[in-house]
Amino acid sequence: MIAEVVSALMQPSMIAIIIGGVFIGNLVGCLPGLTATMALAVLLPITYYMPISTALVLMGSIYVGAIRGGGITAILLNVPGTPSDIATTFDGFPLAQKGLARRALMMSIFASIMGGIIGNIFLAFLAPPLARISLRLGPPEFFWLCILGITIMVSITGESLGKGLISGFIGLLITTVGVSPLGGETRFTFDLPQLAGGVPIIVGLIGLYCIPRVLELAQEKVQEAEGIIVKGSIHSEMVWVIRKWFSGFQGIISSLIGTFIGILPGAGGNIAGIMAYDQIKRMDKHPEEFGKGRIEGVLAAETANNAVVSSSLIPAFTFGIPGSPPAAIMLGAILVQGLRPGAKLFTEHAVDMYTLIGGFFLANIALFLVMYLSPIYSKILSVPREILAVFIAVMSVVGTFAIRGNFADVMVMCTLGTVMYFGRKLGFPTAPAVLGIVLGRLAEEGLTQSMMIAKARGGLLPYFFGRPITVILIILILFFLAWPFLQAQLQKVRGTK
Amino acid sequence: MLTCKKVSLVLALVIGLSLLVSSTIALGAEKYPTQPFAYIVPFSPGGTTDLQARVFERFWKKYFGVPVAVEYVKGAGGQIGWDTLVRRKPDGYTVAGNNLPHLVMQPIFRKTIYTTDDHIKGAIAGLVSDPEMITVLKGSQFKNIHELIEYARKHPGAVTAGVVGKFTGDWIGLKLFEAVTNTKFAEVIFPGSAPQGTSLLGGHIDVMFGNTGDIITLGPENVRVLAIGDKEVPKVLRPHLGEIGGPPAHKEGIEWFAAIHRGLCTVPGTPKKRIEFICKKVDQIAKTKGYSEGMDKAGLPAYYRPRKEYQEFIRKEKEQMIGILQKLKYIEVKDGKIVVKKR
Repeated sequence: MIAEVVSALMQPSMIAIIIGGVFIGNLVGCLPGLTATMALAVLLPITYYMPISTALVLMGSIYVGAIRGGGITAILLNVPGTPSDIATTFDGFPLAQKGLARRALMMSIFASIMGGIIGNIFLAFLAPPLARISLRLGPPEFFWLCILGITIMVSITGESLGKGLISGFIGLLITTVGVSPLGGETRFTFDLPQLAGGVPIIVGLIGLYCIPRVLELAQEKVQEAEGIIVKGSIHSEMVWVIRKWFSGFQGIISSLIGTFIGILPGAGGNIAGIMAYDQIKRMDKHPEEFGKGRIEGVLAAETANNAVVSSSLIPAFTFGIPGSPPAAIMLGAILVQGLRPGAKLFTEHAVDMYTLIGGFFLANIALFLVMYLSPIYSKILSVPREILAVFIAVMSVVGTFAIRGNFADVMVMCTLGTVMYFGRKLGFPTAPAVLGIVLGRLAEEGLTQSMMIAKARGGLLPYFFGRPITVILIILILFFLAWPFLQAQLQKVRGTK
Repeated sequence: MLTCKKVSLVLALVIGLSLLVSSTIALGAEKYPTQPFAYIVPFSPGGTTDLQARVFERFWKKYFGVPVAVEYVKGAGGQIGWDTLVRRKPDGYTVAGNNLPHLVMQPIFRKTIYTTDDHIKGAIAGLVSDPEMITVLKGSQFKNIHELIEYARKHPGAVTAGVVGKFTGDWIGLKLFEAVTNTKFAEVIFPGSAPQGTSLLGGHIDVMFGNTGDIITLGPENVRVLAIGDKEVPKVLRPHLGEIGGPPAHKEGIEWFAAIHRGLCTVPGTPKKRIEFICKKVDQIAKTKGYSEGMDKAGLPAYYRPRKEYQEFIRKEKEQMIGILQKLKYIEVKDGKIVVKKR
């Protein structure tokens, strides 16, 4: 079987597909509003005509390239090109402002490569045993996991716990628009059937991220005429970041966090990036420097979000629950071909599966080639701001409409974006609202199903609060909620000493 | 004279050209189809409705002479897709997968743009009848349907039963089962069959109401089917029968029949000739060997109903659902109008 996999991967056409896929993915990821999920969804009908292994390798390469490509815009423009790159903006953009854009870009490439490879090792060797962990999570665990995600997000944005929480809850509220996924009731649609389908995650993401950015870009022309300059040698910076990555445990820890989050259903690269960022920040001797341009911040975020790429396929291929939205599309690709997730996938179709895994390795290696392209990518910055703003605006509208050809989605996207623009002016962070939108449905389902099951199993209290994993999750939530206060107290104590 | 000649020449040219143009227009009007079709799938990629579209896609070009492009317009349990369908131009270039009882239930309980009648007017063919199945894990305490019924009667509301969505095929299947066997389950609703199946595997629910595809996804080695809501076991499941059990409920003395059905329709108001053309071609495709093999491979229990039969079937399904909902006291019919009861 190994011989078959190797010979499949060594074909020139396969190599071309991997390199081409990584480049396409990079471009897609680089353009805000175009996500890995969208690129893969567009590709899905085409893959039907390909052999399964080719289709999977092409999709996998695009996925790898797109997640890394999102890091480019995160660093250079402070706009996450894909949702996975939210945490990359925290330190990536400040680094670029300091004139270290090249270093941040090289770190994002190398961290992506390492994260991707480590996540892939888990896909290759630990798929069946690890997937069992996610199976043990029931509705209450999913609910608390979502709340944990939002709490972590709020607790690390660091500005105002109150405003962060409000932002997160508004995100959650937005997901309640439309026909409820469980009860079937229509909610908050103002009697408009066009709103019955709710606010798709992509619409929310484009609205909240792109529209405020468009408006801000339009203003920035006056305020900030200078763009970010990418300077420095590609090779010496690459050597520097490779040394940096291996100099501590941050890389390994971020990879493991990314892999773990990837395996959890629903929680994709965005949460992985943020969790890893937060963990590395806490472990650092100088946590206060994070957010002001620490290379470790980029390292953590980019390592973790690419570790998700492979690991999010573990639950998708074993039990049919995708660990991330792009993994959902790849799951769709195998279903279209008549394959079913489950243990049989790794026995009857082992060659296809291991070709994909091998393809992931090669795609990550191919990311090295991308570093020579960074001059092209950084040209984005020499494009005048107003043209960029118009371009992002057009892509946002087209992208939103393309999802399902529903013009109401475009209106919702613009409205959300405009509200968020003013919200940002008042100091409300974007990220918790986005996470709220991403996790809202999952949280609601977890809560409602818990209440339904609890009735049959001895009441809400023991079922919802008393299961071992829920207890751990609730303790974590309380800890993260208290963290800003604890931190302030600690600093006071230190200050008085 | 010269000018006269010129004028007549120009006139002749103009007349000739316009004749040419109009004749090509006329020809174009008669020629159908000339452009690709759109096939709306109102659910997620990779779902059963999508698999059905993919089976057709393989034969479309050969039979229609033009290709088909699958379009995903999902949301609100299919509603967004069907709302989109009825707003498309009725030019015979758009088709959509449709599902029963969804298209009967949604207009009753929600505000929709489409109506059940739209689906009757635009019906092309019924394609799949997928019976409801009551499924438990292999290691479950319930070895057969009678043990489940007995336990559920003794402990009302203590057995958790997972269904996908409210007012759906699964949900009606559960309600009918409760009514027929005089039992009460704790209903647990899921947004899709993937999380429903995982919850069964993880032991978070006791029983699952699902369809053929779910059994194959979960792996026949992991589950036991206690009862099937059909007269016979679907063909695609027969190879697994030894593994999964799965007697039709009526053979166990339980008069429980429940299924979801899938079909194809076009925009209501499409010219009759074009509807007939689509019906004819779909009919031809459905009769090929490749089609039935494709359906088996995708795990879809094929049940072909031509347009007339499918229209009648939708009408009957609507009557039946209204009857069931009245019995369950979810709705009332006052002066021929359906009123949803507040609960």
